[in-house]
Order: sequence, then C-alpha cells, then structure tokens
Amino acid sequence: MTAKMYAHFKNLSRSAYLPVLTFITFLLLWQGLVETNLFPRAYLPPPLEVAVALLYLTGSGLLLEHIGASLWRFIWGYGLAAAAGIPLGLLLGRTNKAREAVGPLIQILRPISPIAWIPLAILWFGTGNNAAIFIIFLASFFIILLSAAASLNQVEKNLLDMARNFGAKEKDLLLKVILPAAYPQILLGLQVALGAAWIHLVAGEMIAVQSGLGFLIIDSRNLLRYDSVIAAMLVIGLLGLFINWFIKKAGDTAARKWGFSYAAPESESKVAGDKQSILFGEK
Amino acid sequence: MKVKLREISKVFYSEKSEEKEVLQRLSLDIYEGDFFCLVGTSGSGKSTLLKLIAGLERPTRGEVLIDDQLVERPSAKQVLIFQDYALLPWRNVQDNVEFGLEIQKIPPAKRRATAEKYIRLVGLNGHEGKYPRELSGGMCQRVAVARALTLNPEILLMDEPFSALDTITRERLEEEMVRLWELERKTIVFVTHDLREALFLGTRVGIMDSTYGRVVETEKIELPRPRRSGSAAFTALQDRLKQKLAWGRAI
Ligand SMILES: Nc1ncnc2c1ncn2[C@@H]1O[C@H](COP(=O)(O)OP(=O)(O)OP(=O)(O)O)[C@@H](O)[C@H]1O
Ligand SMILES: [Mg+2]
Repeated sequence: MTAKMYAHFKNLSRSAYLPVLTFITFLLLWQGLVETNLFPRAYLPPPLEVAVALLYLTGSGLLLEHIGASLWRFIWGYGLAAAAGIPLGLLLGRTNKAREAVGPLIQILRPISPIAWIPLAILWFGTGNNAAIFIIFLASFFIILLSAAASLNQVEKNLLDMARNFGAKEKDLLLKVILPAAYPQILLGLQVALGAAWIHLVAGEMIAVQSGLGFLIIDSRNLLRYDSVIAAMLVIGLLGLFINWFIKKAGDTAARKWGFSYAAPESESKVAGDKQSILFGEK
Repeated sequence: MKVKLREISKVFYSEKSEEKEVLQRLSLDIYEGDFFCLVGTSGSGKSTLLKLIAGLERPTRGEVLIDDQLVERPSAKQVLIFQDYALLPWRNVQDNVEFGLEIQKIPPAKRRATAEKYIRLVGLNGHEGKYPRELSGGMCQRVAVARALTLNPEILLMDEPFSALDTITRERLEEEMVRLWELERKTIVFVTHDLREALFLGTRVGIMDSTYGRVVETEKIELPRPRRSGSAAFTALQDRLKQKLAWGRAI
C-alpha cells in the first residue's frame, strides 16, 4: 500500500512538474511587470498583494461565506438541470415524434446566452437566489438535454439485436444495453454543461444577488480593491477546476459501481495522458 | 428438416422510399446437423438472410420455419453471431459470456460455472477480466462464440466471423470451428465471402447471387476430413464452384 502510494506521488510529482514551473514563471513575470513599472501598480496589483488579500478574505471568513453561497446556487441550478435534462433528453432521443415536435424550438432557445435572460430572471424571480439559480439552470440545461438525446445514437443496433436474440425484453434492453451504452456521452454532456454553468454562475451573481464569488468581484471593484478582485477570480478558477475533477471522478465511480465502465480499474491508470486530467479538466 | 425457407422475399426501403428487393422468392432447406456455408458477393443479402432465420427481421413475403414452426420473433434456440461480434464494451470477457444466461434469469452461481466452461472451450481462460478493447479480433470472436454457446442453441448462425482476421488466426479458428462442430453437432449456418473457407468447413455450400437475390446453387461437400485446402480434390471442387459464382465479381 505504501509502495503504491509512493509510486502515486512520484507519478503525480512528475506530471505536475511542468505545469508548476509554468505557474511559477507566470507569477514571476507578473510580479516583474509591476516591479519594473511596465504596468503601474494601480492597474495591476502584484501577486504578493493578491496573496495578502486572499489571506485577509480567508481569515475574515468572508471568502468561505461567498464560496458557500455560490456553491449552494450552483448545486441547485446544475442539479435541477441534470435532473430534468437527462430524463427529458432520453425521452427525446427515444421518440421520433417528440424530437420532431420540440427540436426546432430547442434550436432557437439554445443559442440565446443565459446572460440575455437576466432581465427576465430578475423580473420573474426578483433579485436573489432564484434568479441566479435560473441562470445557472439555463446555462446547463440545454447542453445536458441535447447530449442525453444524442447519447442514444451511440447505441448500436447490433447490440440491441444481440440482446433481443438472447430473449431481452424492453426493461433489460434499457437497463443492460441502452443506458450503459449512452452513459459516456451523458457524462460528457454533464462535464461540458458544468463549465458553462460555472461561468454563468459568476455572471448571474454580478447582477442578480448580494453574495457569492461574482458579487465579491463587483463589491471589491466598488471599493476599488482590485487585489480582492483578482483573488476572487483565482478562487473561481480553482473551484471550477475542482468541481470538474469531482464530477468526473463521481461519474467514473458510479460507472464502476453500476458496471458501466469500459476497462478494469488497474488498466485505466496505464492509459497514457490520463494523469494530466488532474490538472486540465478534459483529456 | 431443421430450417426451411419458403419463397422468402425481403424488401427494404431506401431513405427516398425506393423499394429494394434484396431477397427474391428464396427457398432453402438446411438439415439437422448441417454445417451449411453460404457464399456470396457483398450486398447479396447474406446478413439479411441470417437475421431472418434468427427472427430479428421478418420476411416481406414467404415464411421461415424451424422444426416446422413459424419463426415470428427471436429466440435463444437459434443464436446469431454478428459480423462485428456485438460485444458489450462495458463488460469484461466473463460478464459478456454470461450475458445471455443473465437475460434468461439463470442464478449467478450456475451462470458463472456455465460461462467458465465455455470460456475454457474457446481457450480464453486467463482472460476473463479483460475488456473488449483490450482483446484482439480473434479473441473477440471467441468471446462471441462462447456467449452464443452458453444457451446451448440448436442452431448457430455465423456472419462472416473470420473475415476481419489475419490468415494464420483465421485458419486456426477454422480448425477449431470444425472441432467444435464435430463435438457438439449443432446445425450451423455460416456466411462467408471465401469459397475456400466454405469448402474447408462445410457439409454443404450454397451460392448466393445478388442479381437474383436467391441461393442459385447448393452442393454437398463430399471431401473427407481432415481437409487440406491444397489437395487436388479440394482445388478441383473449388475451381468448379468458382465457375458458378457470377463472373467478374470479387469473391
Ligand atoms: N435495414 C436495412 N435498410 C435498408 N437496406 C438494407 C438494410 N439492411 C440491408 N439493406 C440492404 O440490403 C442489401 C443486402 O444487405 P446484407 O447486409 O444482407 O448483404 P451481405 O450479403 O451481408 O453483404 P456483406 O457481404 O457486405 O456483409 C444491401 O444492399 C443493403 O444495403
Ligand atoms: Mg453481411
């Protein structure tokens, strides 16, 4: 076990080495730009100041409060989108009539940026949690819906015929062939939607509410605390990375538990490039 | 008579709803214990024919009878082994082989034992935990064969099972197929592009022609086993049957 853990860390440190180097270079350049006055301090707070702001925000408990508010909305908006989008998408993919009927409507609604919905969201829900949740819902719902609908195209007719040959009825076809075959595409849709939801969460919070990371940015700007603005931006980036990683892990774990996985657990870590997914959301 | 096809026609509709009659008044008898090899050009309707026997497709006209019973729906009595194996990529070898038993609601312990028996029969023991993407084409083919055998079907329908394999693997699997047939004496309908393969394996060969959508010729293969594809009798038969396959088509 310890040997395995050691190997794991060794692997991790080897794969982390380049990105960490890039990150440090980035910070040094940034600090350098400000120190040499190429970029005046008033326009760009240097990393050290941002770090101090971050420490202050953390220490005062303010940051945790805002993170909590953001995550709360995110879970609701994204959760509702997944809970509605997956079953509706599967229904849409399965019935030609439904697809014919609502397809064009979806195609019209989909390209409208969730930001454009903000005025209506505020009109309907007032300023507050619900308006922001609605924006997050919109940002992720169509992506999840369409990828769930498309996931059924991934199911090969031969697999269904094979199962029918062995005597499978509708229920077995759905549980033992259709869902496992569609699962990777659904999971991919959930990941893409996650990115969109996170981006629009911040946008929604900048306008509709008085808490959360988006609000923290606006609030800091009003106080002319650009060090806090950048600190909040960094937190948004890091949290987004973490949530992405979390969803992927949760999806893989669920796949393993349900027997939907396409490879044995040990052999997966052998796949080259897999390690990078810790640092970059997608493979 | 194990399988009887009576005046079968099968019409498909293209996307522009043009009719295409793939099989035209096709009649064919396959006997109990036959190793019937069907040879024909690409697009002549061989896969369609197997799906009709499997009950996965219904004929537009005519009827398919198995043991004098009309085939109206698929049944595990006649199992089709697909051209592309149709393995479930999210199941390892063991679980793929158990799939049919699972559908038939066989209890897990018995499932395991039966699957193990057939995995051993096709020589895949030691690979139970591997997933399809970790297997070679030949190994996938064996998994599909093992899965089909677990339900002890009376008829095996095989759709160009070896066409994607290299010659060495292919010839070894052909020999194993003959051994399996001699052991279990199932009725086999085996589709292939390759006349040599048909003559090596079969008790009878049928030649399909796409212009007529029919089996234009059937012939009993009297060559003694074990057969050698280089032997004089073999080559003579092969040359004679080649004449009966339409000229100018790649076989
Ligand atoms: N579901 C379908 N819908 C429409 N046309 C079909 C369908 N299935 C088969 N066909 C057509 O029927 C013809 C025969 O197809 P089939 O797959 O039976 O040929 P085959 O002899 O197995 O060919 P190959 O050797 O290439 O596998 C082809 O022209 C094909 O396009
Ligand atoms: Mg075919």
